[in-house]
Amino acid sequence: MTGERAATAGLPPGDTRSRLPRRRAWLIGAAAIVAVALGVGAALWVSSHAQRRDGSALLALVLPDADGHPQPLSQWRGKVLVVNFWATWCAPCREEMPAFERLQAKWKARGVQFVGVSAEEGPKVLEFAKRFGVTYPLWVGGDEVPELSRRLGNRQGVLPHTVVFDRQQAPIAERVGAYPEDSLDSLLAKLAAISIEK
Amino acid sequence: MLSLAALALWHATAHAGGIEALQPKLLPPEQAFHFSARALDPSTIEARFDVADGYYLYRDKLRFTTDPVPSRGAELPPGKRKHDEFFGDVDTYRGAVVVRVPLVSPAAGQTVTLHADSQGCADAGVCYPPNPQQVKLSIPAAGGTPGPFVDAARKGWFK
Repeated sequence: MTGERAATAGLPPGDTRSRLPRRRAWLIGAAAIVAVALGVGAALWVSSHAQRRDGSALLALVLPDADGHPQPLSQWRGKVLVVNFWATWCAPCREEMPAFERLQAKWKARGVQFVGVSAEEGPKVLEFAKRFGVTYPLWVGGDEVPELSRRLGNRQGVLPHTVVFDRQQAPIAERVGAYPEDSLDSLLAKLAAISIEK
Repeated sequence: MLSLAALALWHATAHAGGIEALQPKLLPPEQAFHFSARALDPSTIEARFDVADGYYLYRDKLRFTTDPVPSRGAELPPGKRKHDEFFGDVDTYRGAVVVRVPLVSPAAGQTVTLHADSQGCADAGVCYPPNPQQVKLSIPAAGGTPGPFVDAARKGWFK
């Protein structure tokens, strides 16, 4: 996969959890992070309505990657972030992922980071990534994932849903439904050109 | 004209803070895929989805089970073939979908719970998460009149 995963350990490997009943496996896997994520979601909601430019709440988000390793979003502090909520069963989500793959390759060196987030089992997501050649990180979670998506503006809880954050992790653009490649490309060009004022 | 109509399907909201948000106008799942059911006779339940215009359900994602009296397998009507780039040929339902769910044995006078799993999408290019719903039905006596349609209204989430 990406080879970029910070091995922060903690959860059992994904293939072990895949043998547990789905609900229980995710209860165990997600329990440790759900409180944090919900808190982050709430903070994000507040930040998106009150202090839009303060993205510090997003940086506190931690979710397991498809291998089951907890990943802090803070590893991408200072990057332009594209957070895509998706699912393997969602055809329009699958259709736009090759465009995300192209844009990730195009803008990687300029500090743009894509991450796909779904509420499915890690092994399923890993298999999908392999089959369809998705190389940007795919994170998974439980109920906190749709909750986060909803708090970021996804009123009906549908997929795909994409939110773009600037280098200070403030939400800049949000789409429910496919994000047209050319619009996203020009937005990323604009955001990548802005460096952080310290 | 066409583009105006297409534009009308989308909400564009610009907030004071400058976030650009674009989303299609979407019905909540319980309206997009309205689910109800009734007991036809002591050993038959009729499940029904009323799918709103511009929305569709996947035939192979429909699942019906009953308890405490089990059912023998729902009689799904043929769907409309749709070619999907990733899923291949899939059958979909639009409009009214009526499914007969036969019980393994008559259950006159009992209360039977029908569980329905469904998943659908909107032509606007989004999909709703799998939605488990249930309705409780009072099963009529033999020779009695069919029971009333009972609604299920529960929100789903993407999983």
